Amino acid sequence: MGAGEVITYFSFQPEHFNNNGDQGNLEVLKSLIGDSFSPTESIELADFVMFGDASIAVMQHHAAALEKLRAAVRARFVAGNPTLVVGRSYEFFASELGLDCGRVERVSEFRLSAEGIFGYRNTDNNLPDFFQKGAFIGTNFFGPLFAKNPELTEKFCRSLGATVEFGAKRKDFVEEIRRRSSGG
Amino acid sequence: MRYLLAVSLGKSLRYLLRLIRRGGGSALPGLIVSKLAPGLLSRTLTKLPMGVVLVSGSAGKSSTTQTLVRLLEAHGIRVFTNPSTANIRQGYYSAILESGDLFGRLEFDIAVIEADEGHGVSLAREVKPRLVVLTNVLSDQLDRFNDPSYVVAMLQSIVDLSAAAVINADDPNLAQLALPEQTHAAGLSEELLLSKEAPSYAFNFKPTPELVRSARVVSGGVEMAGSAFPSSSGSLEHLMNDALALLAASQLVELQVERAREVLSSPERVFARNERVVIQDREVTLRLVQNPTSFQLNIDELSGSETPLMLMAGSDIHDPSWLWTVDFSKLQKVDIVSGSNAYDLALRLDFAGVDINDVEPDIAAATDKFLALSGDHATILFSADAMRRTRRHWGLAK
Repeated sequence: MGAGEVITYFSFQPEHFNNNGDQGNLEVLKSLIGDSFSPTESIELADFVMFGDASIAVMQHHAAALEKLRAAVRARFVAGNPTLVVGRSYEFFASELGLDCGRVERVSEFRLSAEGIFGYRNTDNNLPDFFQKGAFIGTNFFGPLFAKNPELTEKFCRSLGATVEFGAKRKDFVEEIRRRSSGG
Repeated sequence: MRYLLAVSLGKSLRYLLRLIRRGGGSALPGLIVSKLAPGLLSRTLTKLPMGVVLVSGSAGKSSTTQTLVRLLEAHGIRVFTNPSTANIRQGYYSAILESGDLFGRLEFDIAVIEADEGHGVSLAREVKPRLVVLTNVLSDQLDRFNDPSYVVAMLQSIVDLSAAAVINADDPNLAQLALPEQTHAAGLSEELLLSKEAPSYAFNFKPTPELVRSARVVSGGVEMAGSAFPSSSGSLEHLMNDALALLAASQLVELQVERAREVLSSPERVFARNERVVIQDREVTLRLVQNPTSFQLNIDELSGSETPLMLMAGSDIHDPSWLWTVDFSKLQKVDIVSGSNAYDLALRLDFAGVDINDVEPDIAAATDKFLALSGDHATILFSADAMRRTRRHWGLAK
């Protein structure tokens, strides 16, 4: 992707799939990439695709539409294309990622995944907190994953063809958030 | 005798803690007495001659409760209630310690209790409310409740244990409940329902039964039984709380229209909703923000002249992710960001393009710094935990 080239994104029903501020991830990418980061209504044409977390009622309401997108999500996973699926969307598409979604006791806490990714887990599914293939990410970490993981975000933006700098002040804030959540 | 000992211990502890911690010290005694005398609550409340009213829902509980209390008091009724935000079990016990005698007995006619959705079920089971008032269901406190459908189930349990209900019929999550025969509904006028300021609720796509609205929110007030009640409340959310309180009061007393009008038009009704206090000869405006809806409402109500401005996110916000659902772009700058979630809030504000002058997680230090800043419209927006700590630091006994 050349300098100044448009980077497109598709977010599925952003108003409904924003349970814990997941759409904030788009705000982060837009803030870092700038005006060249712009929406598209086509999942096939999008450089970046996001499915946020949603309530049970919303998932039921959109189940048929989500079913129709399984093949597109599987194709993005196989290719490792930049994608973020969160929470109940992650559960919905788990089989496309080769994962079996079962139930465990619900855990609501800040966590650091084995990959060093930081976030808030609030679910009773048994999927990995953070699951990545190429630039395809499935996660149980709700809310602004990209805001709280500068290294991941900078790397993710590179996969979109954008070189971005998270900024020292923001990195300091993230450092403090992580330190304080671990009782430091 | 058990109650006498427990209440005496609780009252003594409360007195001692308040000597040490100005304006605070009410939670721990309530917690201890709830363990020592678990039957005290039901025994005390069920003896009140006019019974118990519960007010529950995701948002607007404090406003609705306090307006209902004022309406009843304006009709000469002695009302026992719990302080705003003290809406879980130990909060009920703390209120008894504060207002009851040494046996925990209450010299009141009726109890109007603000009940957290989770704790409301067990309270309803104990006291069998004569009336439950339900405000709304939002996508809120997901770290606790996980999904709005679970909140709906809890509210249904409260309704099942109550003799009558007053509900916000605009919220489909409430209108779809199995409601008692004695149910009265409030709602926005048809014109306001179509406005962009109309409140939104937790997503619900099922067909909703049409309930007759006995009270209607209209522009600037409430209409009920052919009378108009102008209100000092600004937003439609707050006007809906007024309508619910008015409708509930009309089920409990013979409503005197003039007295009710006086209450609703009074500008200083609700604790920490645009409340003005004087600290060290400085007037400070306090705004309580408890969830995305109230945070957004308060941000939207700011004029831009608030200086200095402090935002505080305390430990009651377990997962600060929801801060990312609030649109802060209206703010140009925030002088201080504080509370145990200060850095989460600062990160959110920074991505929203808001200038931040200082991040100080320690609330005592932040409030001192705040008072040292110049500006003639000092304003604080704080979550419940930050509010309690700020009040304690300033010796504001509430």
